[in-house]
Amino acid sequence: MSSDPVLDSQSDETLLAAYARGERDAARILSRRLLPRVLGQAHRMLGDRAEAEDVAQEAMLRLWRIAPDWEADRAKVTTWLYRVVANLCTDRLRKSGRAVALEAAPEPEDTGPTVAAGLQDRARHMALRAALADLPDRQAKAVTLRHLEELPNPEVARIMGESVRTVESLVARGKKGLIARLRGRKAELGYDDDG
Amino acid sequence: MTMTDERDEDLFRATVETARRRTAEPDDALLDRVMADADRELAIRAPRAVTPRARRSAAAVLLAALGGWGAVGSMTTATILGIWIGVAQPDGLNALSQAWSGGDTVEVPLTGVETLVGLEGLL
Repeated sequence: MSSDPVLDSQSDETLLAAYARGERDAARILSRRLLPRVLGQAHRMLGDRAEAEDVAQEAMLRLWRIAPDWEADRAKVTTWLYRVVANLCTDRLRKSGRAVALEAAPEPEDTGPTVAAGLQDRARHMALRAALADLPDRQAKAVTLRHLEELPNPEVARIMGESVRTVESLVARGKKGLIARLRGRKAELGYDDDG
Repeated sequence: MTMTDERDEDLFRATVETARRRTAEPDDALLDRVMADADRELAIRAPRAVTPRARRSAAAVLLAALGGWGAVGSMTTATILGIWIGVAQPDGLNALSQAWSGGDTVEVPLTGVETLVGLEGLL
């Protein structure tokens, strides 16, 4: 696919403004640039490819809709998208219920070194998903942004609209809460207590 | 850190690392869906975004500024003439000044302060 080197070099915010003026190519470049991150964040939080794609599409749709009203100095597009994806994912986690049955989980993808390893990864991810669904929303968002997306606390604070101190507290409580919920499933998840 | 703390930390780290390994590259089908949404949103906004504002003549702008034909209809001729002098070009005003002086030899422009001085004794 051909690309416009001038558009390619523009910032996300400039491209969004160009899209708002009717430049379709700007939307395509933004999609190619942002979709991997958006989809990855959703996939890590939800553990399910199809659900993650739905969230990614919805997040991008919201971006297209806000484009005409985007204020250049408001925030970075990526910061805004992190927030939207985190919100959409926690909504889904909440709706899917606190108990996520492994039987209901999708089949593992053929990415693991072995089928057994793939099943174990799947079990771990579904356990994480269930634990996240059981956490208070803000803790779930804070702990996933900090530990799954590996963002620094100040960036998490910007995304969540909280102070850094509050984020530190949310992350600590979220981590503690996750451990408490995972602890009882160690053997099931393939963790050796003696190791 | 106690042994239990260390094990808890290992449990957390291992679970999180499992999730971190989940990367997902968007395929063409997803990109097409996202672009279809982008196109649809553009189409929804297009009529509003590209409708040009109707161009109006100077006379229409003046008429609107005066309050429309209804307001203009109630003005006296002198009022309208005064407004016209205010917006017309000097060439037209010079011709008018000649007509008022009653002769061919007097040409006094009506623009500028010196105008009234030049008219003293002639009218």
